[in-house]
Amino acid sequence: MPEPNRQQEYRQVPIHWGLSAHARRLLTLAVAGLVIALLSGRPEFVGVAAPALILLAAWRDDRPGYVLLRTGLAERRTLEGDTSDLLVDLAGQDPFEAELVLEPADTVTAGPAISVPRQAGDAARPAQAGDTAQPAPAGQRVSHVRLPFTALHWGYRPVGHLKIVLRDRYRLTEGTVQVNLPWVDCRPHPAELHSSIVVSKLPSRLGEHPARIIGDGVEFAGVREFVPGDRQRRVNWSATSRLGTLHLNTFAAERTQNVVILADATADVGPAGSTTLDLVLRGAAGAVTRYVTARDRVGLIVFGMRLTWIGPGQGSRHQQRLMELLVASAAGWDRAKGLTRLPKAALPPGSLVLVFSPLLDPRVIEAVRDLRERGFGVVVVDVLSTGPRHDRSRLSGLTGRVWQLEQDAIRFSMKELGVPVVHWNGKDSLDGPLGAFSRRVLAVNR
Amino acid sequence: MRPARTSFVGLVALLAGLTVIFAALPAASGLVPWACLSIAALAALCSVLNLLVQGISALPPVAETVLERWRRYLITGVRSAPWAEVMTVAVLVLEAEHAHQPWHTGVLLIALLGYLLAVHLAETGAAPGTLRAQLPPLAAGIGLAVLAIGAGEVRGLSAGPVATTVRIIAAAAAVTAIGLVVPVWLSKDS
Repeated sequence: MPEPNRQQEYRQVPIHWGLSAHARRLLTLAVAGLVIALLSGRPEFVGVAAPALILLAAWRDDRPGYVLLRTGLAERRTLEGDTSDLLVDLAGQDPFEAELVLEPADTVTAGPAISVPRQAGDAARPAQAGDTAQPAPAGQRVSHVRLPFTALHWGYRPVGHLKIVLRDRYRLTEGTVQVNLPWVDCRPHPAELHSSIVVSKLPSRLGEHPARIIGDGVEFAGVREFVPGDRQRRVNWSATSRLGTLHLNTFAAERTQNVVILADATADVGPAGSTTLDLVLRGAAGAVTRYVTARDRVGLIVFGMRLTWIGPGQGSRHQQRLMELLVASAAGWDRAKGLTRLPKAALPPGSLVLVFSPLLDPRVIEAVRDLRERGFGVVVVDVLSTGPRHDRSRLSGLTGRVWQLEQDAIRFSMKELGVPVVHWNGKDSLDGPLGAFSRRVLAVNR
Repeated sequence: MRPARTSFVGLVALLAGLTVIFAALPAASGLVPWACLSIAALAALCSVLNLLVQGISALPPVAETVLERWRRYLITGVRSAPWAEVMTVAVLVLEAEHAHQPWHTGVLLIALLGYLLAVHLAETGAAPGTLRAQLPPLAAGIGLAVLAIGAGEVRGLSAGPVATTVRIIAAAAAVTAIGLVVPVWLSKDS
């Protein structure tokens, strides 16, 4: 069965042959010995040249001009920090030993080089029926190699280059092959989140959250008197015998909720690897994962260079679309755009809106105020953990204090509007800052 | 490029040091021997450093400290020349500056070959077993070297039992060398 992320056809890659560093050193020894012997008239220096010359005489001239190569990724999608494999099928390198090295691109780390011996060994096996969609030419031995790599940062990024070095048995000639590798879709590592925030008024869609209305769920809601038409299996016999009339149990209806994640990609400040944008995306990815797993309808709005969104939906395919939008959205701040009202299509009435933001862009703050005025249940997760750099001068200290006061004022005004603002440092679980809201329902106005 | 194997780097350092010291003995006066000795010592040091910094990136980062900048200059400088080749030539010239001592040249050849093989192992990270294929041609070459060194000794010997013995040893070395070379040539295409 051919693997979906692997090239289906072998391609011929030319080999660039040359002297190995070992051969160059031996050649230097031989030439120096012969020249000194000639100049000085001392025969022992011819002897100095002899071992190197004998070894160089074993030079091979039947070198192949190309190898057959097929590369692919074990997983096209990966999470930042997770290790994946590069799959390489190599044919046509015999009778040379091959060393495969993954030369990683920026923010990618690679595992050690892997050697394929001259003849069939542990790392290589002959091609078999079904190994490839288009097998290598008959008589060619195919070596299957897995080279591990780790993408350290989210984004759609190149893995790097594959370098193959072919060596003969005397290690005098070296053939080099270098090919570009496919790109990997690296998703932000989802923040840990095990609890859910549930809004007070759930829409009438079947789900897994117990609603306030009576329905067909499994969570006990109360006891009431029997009326004709009720199901007999729900009769509460204890209450019936105690009260003398038929009583039955009632259960809470189970409903789903709409959750919209608002990711603020307008700012990207802070130390590399844990900038505000990194934290926003990791937090948003964690929330998406959590609420999709809880079978809620989840939507995403990315507030960046462009306003992009996907309306609420369910299922793993929808989750993949949301994650793709997270990674693909252009971060930055476009001064020309002053959009503060978020699209109605992305915000069903009564939705829970989780905002991940450093609260540095006034447009985002204005958009959050607008959401609250429209009756949505909004919780803001503040990811700002850094401030402007300042030196020891008075003016710099003064500007730093003014900036801090401004930030405090923004957060205070949010709380005054009824929008809770919690801080998340990006390292701990999101259950800590959001735990207070998961123990009770969040009031919304529909 | 991957980092060099530390155990072989130590071996390279040991063999480089021994080779340079052995080539310098007996100490010769004059400008050329001293220049050759200095170059050989510098090249030996740099060849070991070159192996130590193998696999370390020398690309300038966005912001670097003064220490990092000097470290980058050092790495770039160490990688700027083929130091093992420089040391080989300097050591041979230094040897040629000495008085006629063929056995001394023979021992130096063994040390140089050991040094070059150790550099190769450290550089590629290969196991010593990968050199097994090189041993027959190297043995044949060393046999020829013994022959040449023997010829050098013969030139300075007067007639007598010692000279006869040396000539016999040289002839035996020639036979051994030819006996080793022929199988190597026959197995070349295998």
